[in-house]
Amino acid sequence: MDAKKLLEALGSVTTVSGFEERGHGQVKEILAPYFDEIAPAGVAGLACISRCGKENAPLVLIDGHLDEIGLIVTDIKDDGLLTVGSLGGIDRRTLTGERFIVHANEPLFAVTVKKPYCMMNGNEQRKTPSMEDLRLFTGKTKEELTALGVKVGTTIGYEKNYFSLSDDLFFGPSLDNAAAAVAGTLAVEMLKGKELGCDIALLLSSQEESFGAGFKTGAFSLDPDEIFVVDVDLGNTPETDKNKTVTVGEGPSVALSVQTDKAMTRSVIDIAKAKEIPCQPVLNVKSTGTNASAVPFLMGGIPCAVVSIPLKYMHTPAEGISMKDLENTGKLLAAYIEERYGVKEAE
Amino acid sequence: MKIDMKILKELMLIHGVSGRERAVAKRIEEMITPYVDWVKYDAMGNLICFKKGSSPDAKKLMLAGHMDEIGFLVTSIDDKGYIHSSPIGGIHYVSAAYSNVRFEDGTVGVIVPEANFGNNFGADKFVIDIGATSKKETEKKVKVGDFAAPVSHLQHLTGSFWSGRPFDDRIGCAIMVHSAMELKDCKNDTYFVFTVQEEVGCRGSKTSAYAIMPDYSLAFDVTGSGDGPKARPMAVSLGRGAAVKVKDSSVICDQGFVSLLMDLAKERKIAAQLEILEGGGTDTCSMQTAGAGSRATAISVPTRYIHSNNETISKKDYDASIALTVALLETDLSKVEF
Repeated sequence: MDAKKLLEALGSVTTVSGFEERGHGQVKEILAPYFDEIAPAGVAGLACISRCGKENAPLVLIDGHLDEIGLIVTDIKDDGLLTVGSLGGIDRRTLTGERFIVHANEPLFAVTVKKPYCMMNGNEQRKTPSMEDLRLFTGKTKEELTALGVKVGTTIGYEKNYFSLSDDLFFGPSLDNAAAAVAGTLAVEMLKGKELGCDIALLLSSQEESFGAGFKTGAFSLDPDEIFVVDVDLGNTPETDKNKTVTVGEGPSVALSVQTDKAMTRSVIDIAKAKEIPCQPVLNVKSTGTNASAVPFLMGGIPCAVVSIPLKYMHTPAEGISMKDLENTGKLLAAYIEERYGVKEAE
Repeated sequence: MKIDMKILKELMLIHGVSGRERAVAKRIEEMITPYVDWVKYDAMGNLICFKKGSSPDAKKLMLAGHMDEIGFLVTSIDDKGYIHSSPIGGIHYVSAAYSNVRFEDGTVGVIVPEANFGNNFGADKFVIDIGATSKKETEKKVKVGDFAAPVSHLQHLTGSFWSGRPFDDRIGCAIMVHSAMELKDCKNDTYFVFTVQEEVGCRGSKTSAYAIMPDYSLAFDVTGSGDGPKARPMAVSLGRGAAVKVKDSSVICDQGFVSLLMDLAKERKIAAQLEILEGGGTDTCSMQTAGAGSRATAISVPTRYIHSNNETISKKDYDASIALTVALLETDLSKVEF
């Protein structure tokens, strides 16, 4: 399979946080060839399941959240301008000058309304626009917008453009968290043809960027025995603190945190070493900032490890990852599952 | 259906600060019992009332309105007999200043800021004066751990507008009670849940939703509006109908369920508007995430000056909320495609 193509295909699906069901049909179509079944799970989530064929087999859950950050229409003004709120932690600096897509009955282009730079005073030039002041212009009247199905609650997202900066570096919006879905799919592909004693569910959960409803409910409905939360991690760039970031190109990060299981995490790191898969253990003591936050409160508590793909420029239209890291994330997941659940031939 | 303000007024006047909802629950129980199959309380004090649905594949529908109101908890009594308190829920001290408060046993007092409080409107600057002149005299009526609330009232303004407190959320409870009364053909297995402790973190709805594990959930609460004086922009106005929640700061609602309610409103000619509340959470979130999750949204009554002593609503929106709820309860959710 071509990971880049799959990443672009999944990234291009509209799945704004809280409104993921809109993209379910497309996601199912894209991932159907790789899984035995794909079914709804929890609040607006999808469980892509790969069966081992054994009865009552344990279940390994790989969570990769389906949602992406975006905007939501809060009102249509009489002049046709849209006021908006954010869904997830959108970077407000990216809002001006960007072209957006309004997810109406048919996609509509929108641009942000802004005073020309040369007419701003120094203070205005330095200020990040506030969400409340932001207006989006679609070129349509209020009546036209209403007829096109735009209303309070309609979502808006970045335009989806993907591009490579090298063979390895791939850029575009919503790699957070399409990359995780691809990593999970890669792992399942790598395990094809191997005899396993476990089922694998790739949970594409909703609302990670907002209120987390999808993971809690999706995991509850699947009742897994072990959980991998796969997300993206802050990749270092010249202006960031090296101690608080991971390096793009040096393998997935593995979180050491109160939210993760010590034995499982240790085992993941040991397996990476033994199989020579690069990985970067990171300390996220109090919180991993991922869906793993819900794991200690899930049913009786479930062993969990957090494996993340280093990503540059998070929550912008130009997020960037290394395809090598993505592949190594898949490899690491597959290696762990094979080591722990692979049926070894009697010697 | 013709709805008057009687039930709402009666519920508003009962004392019931978060954690002390029993009196409200008892009165609701009396009102609703003839219209449901059974009622019970859970350990936290949530009142759960069940009505069986007539659909052969009846889905579980949970309705939730919270019984608690914001108030004050007595933390200490000083030598002069003044009562010090801490807020229960989001007390608005600008509104609380110099207002009348009432304790559960009926003792009344006034809550006043100390002199020279400047712009510091916090609990530590306020005392409750019940007219006693010593600690001993106060303690005859009020003890540490007692609950007080601003005195409740309801008055008619102009046209369809009414003001008073606490509309938040006795109006939600009243909508549910009226809906149970007006309901002709209950299609779904419906749980009318009157929840506790919403104002301190949606606690009652967490446990009750977990016990019920609904397929569909609908909360009833107040929401803000964009039409108050210099109000924060919001596409909700008083008098424009029941507000169907798209999002608040605790939940993003199920689009299918939101559309179903808006379609029902259109079909039955019930006034309805879409709501995005940018500050404030509701019981909706706990119902959405209970167990394997449910399709959740809320019907809200647009309200000005929430958490003040004069919350203001339009009766038109109250009527529309009841009509829309009845319409939903008479819709077989097992036959709805999402």
